[in-house]
Amino acid sequence: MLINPHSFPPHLRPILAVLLACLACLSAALAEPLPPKPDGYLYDPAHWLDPATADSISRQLETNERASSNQILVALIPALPENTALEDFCFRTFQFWAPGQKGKDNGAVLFIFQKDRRARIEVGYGLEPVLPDGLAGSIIREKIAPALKENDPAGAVRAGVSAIIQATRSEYKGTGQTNADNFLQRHPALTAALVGILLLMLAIWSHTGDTVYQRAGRFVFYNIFDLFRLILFALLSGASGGKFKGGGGRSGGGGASGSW
Amino acid sequence: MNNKLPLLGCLALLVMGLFVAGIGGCTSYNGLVGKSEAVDKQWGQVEAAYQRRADLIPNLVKTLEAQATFEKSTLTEIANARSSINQIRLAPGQVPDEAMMAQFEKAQAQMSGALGRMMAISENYPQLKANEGFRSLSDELAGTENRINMERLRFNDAAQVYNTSVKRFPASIVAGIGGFHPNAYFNSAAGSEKAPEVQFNLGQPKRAEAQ
Repeated sequence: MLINPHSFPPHLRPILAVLLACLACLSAALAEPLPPKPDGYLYDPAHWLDPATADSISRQLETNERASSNQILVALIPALPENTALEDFCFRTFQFWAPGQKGKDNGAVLFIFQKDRRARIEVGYGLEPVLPDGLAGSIIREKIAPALKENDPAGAVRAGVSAIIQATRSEYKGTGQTNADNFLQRHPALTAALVGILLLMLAIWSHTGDTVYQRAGRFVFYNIFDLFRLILFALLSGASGGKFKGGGGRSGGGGASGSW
Repeated sequence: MNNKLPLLGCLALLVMGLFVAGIGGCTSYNGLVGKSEAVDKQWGQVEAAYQRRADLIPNLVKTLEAQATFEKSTLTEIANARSSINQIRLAPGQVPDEAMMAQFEKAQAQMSGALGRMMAISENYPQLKANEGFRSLSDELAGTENRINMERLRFNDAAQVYNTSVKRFPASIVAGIGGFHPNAYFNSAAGSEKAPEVQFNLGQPKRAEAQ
């Protein structure tokens, strides 16, 4: 109601228009070109990695979250936006993607900037003790940069991810689940109960007699059964399978950068 | 009887008004407490980042002193910066006032400059660059400089949120009564000027060499 121009006196409307225009300009200027939130563990918009490697990296990182609850991501970015500092870009992207569980802050992102020939491992607060800057720097220097020099991004990412996972895996205990798991995956007992009820319904109502009432009852319950089945399938489909959902972890700018 | 009714009405309105104002006052007081605590907490993070850097310096200096030929002038510069930082006595757990903040920032900026120059000079020492211990230390230092910048940014954000609510009417009345004062900011312009100066690409060959 406040922004409805007709609620303003006519002589004030130009002022309102100018104010709104300023606001629009300001928000456009503040809109930063950050990469969108990824729906998988590997963000590779330019398909730099071959599909087989991309798949195995994603699965490795998903398994890692199930085992340790750490959220480690790989971001292969074609080029750093102009007039942007690498550290600043990585920090803000980390803040936006929010890998790591809330409170544990156990996330890390391996950034590789293809065109700029630079890389950074940004480490969340919670992983700083096991992945200190010195180690992050040596992973870049010894594992990632040499492979990239050989023009082998798949090897670089594989070696980098393995080194990061190895350093961080024993810090936290996983729950066997990921943040992207859906409701039924998170509640396996409930899923089993629902399936059990479904089968029971089927068993009972397929063995009733053949009176008019029983047939009517069967008709009604078949439909209920069908509805039930549909809901269950809807809940089960969209099972996570390599999907990633940030847990709200934070970084304090820890990590290391390097080039090749 | 009849002429008492308006009086009662006025009284009821007054009581209701006081009640609403009281609730409003309490909420904005609680809001201010929360925001002030967020600022204090973030100040702790800033101090921790600076402390982390201070803790790195003895080891760095030791490694550099082991290099017989290393320029002593930068080491003296670092020692000077250290003593001027140590002279500043900040009240623990409390955000310093504007004058103190400026002094703190100046001393820390002096240290950033000295460390930046030291790292730039160390580029010329191949033995240093090959030393794994020194490389790891310089990674830690680069990471810490980055942490300092980020925590400062977050501090300024938190301070801005708090200061805005301290100054904005009607919470400003509550702030006045409750003794909430606006916090000092970091001069982020000076900080960001300093930040890119400290470039550590140690141990990585320059791009021209690599290609």
